[in-house]
Amino acid sequence: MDINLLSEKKSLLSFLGLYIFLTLIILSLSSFMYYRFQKEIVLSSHLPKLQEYAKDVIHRIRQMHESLLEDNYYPRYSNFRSAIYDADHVRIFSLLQTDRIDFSSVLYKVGDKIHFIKEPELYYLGAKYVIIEIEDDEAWITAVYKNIFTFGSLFLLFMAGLGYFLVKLFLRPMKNSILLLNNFIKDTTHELNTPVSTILANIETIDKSQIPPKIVKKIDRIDIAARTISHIYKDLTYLLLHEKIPSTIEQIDINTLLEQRVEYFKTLADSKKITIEFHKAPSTLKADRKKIARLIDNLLSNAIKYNKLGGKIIITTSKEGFSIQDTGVGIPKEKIDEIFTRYLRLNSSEGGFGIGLHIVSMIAKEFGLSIDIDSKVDKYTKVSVTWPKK
Amino acid sequence: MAKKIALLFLCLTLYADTFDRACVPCHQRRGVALKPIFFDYLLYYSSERGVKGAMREFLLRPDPKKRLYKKGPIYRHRIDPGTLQKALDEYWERYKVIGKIK
Repeated sequence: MDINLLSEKKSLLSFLGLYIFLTLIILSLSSFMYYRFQKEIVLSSHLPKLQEYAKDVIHRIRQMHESLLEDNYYPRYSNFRSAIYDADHVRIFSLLQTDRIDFSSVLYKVGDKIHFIKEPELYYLGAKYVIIEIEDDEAWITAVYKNIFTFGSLFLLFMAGLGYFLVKLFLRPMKNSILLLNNFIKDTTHELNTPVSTILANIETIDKSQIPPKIVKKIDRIDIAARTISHIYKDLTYLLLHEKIPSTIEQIDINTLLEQRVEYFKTLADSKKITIEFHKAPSTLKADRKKIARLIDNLLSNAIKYNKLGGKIIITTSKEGFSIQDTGVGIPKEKIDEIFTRYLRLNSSEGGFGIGLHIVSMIAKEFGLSIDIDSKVDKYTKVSVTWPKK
Repeated sequence: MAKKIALLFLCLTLYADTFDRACVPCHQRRGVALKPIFFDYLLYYSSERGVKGAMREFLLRPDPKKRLYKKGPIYRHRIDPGTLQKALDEYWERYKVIGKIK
C-alpha cells in the first residue's frame, strides 16, 4: 500500500475514532436519561404507599399536638421510619437511618433509602416537614444496568458499522484521486529514469580534455541538472515504493561509500566552489547499501544546497557514526524538531519538495540509527548519524 | 468574694425569672393559659425563629388580623423589647417540643 493510501487509512481511523467518541457521548447521555427515567418510575410506584404512611404519621402527631404534648409517644412502624423537622430544617424528632435530607425535593433516593417529604397543612408540634423513609431493594438498578449494557453495545456496534460504511462512501472519490495521482507519479518517475541515466552515462564517456573549456562548463551544467533530476527520481521512488523495496543487509565500509557519494556530488559542489574536507576513521555499518547511500545523498545534497558560495563541507567518520557539517544558512533552534516532517521546507530559496530529511529519518528508523542535529543560524549545520556499539 | 457570688446568683435568679414575673401572674389572673397559646403559635409558625418573631411582633404591635388567641379583647402589653425577648426565650425553653418527644 502506498504512503498516500496509508495516510488516507489514518484519516479514516481518526474520523472513526471521533465518530465513536461522539457516539459514546450520546450513549452516555441517553443511558443517564434512561437511568433517571427508570428511577423516577420506581420512586413514583412507591408514592401512594408513602402518602398513606405520611397521613398516618400526621394523624398521630396531630393527636400529640392537641394533647399539648401530654401524650408524647412518637409513632413507630415496622415497614417505614419517619421524622419531623421544623420550618428552619431543625430536627424535632427522628427515627430515620440517614440524616441526609434534601428539603428541596419531595421524593428522592439517598443511598439505599427512599425519602418522601410531606408538608402538613398545619404544623403540628411545629413540624413543617414530615419525612418518611423506606428501604429500596435496588433490584431495578441491576435491570437498568443490564439493559444499558446490552442495548448500549448493540447501538455502539450499529453506529460503528454505519460510520465505517459512510466514511468509506464519502472517501471513495478521494481514494480514487489519490490512486490516480500515485499511478501517475509512478509512471512519470519510471519514464524519467531512462533518459536521465542515458544523459549521465553519455556525459561520463566524454573526454573533457579534448574539448574547449567553454563546452566543458556547459557539459558540467548538464551533468549537474541530470544528477539533480536523478536524485529527485530516487527520492520519489523511495518514498512511493520503500515498503516494496527489500533490504539487503551487508557490511558497509562507510568511508568508501561516503567517498563514492562525494564523487557523485563533486560537479555540483564545484559549481558552488565548495571544498570538502574528509576526516576518516575506520567506520562500518551493517545495513542496506542502497538505502544508506540514499541517506548520505540527501545529507550531502542539503549540505551543498544550503551552503554559502565558496563554503566548506566537513565530513567526519568514527567507529560508531559519521557527521556532515556545512557552513551554510543554519536552522533556527525552534525549527530543528520539525525538519523531519514530510514536505516541510524551512528555506524556499532552493528547489526541492521537502522530502529529503523525511527519507533520512525513515531510513534511520529502519536501521536503528540516531540522527542528531546541531546548528547555528548563518554559521553551520552539523548532522551526526550514529549507531549503537556492537 | 462572698458578696460577689451572692450578687451573681441574684442576677441569674432575676434573669431566669423574667417570664414568671412579667407574664405568668397576669395570665393566671386573667385565666389565659400560656401553654395552649404556645402550641397555637407552633401550629402556624413552626420554628423557634418563626414562633418568637410572630409573638414579639404581636406583643409589641398588636394587630387583630394576626391574632391567634381569639378569646377576650386584645390586650396591649406594656413591656419593653429587652424584657420581652428574655421572657420569650424562657417561654420557648419551657414549652418547646424538641427533646420532649419519646
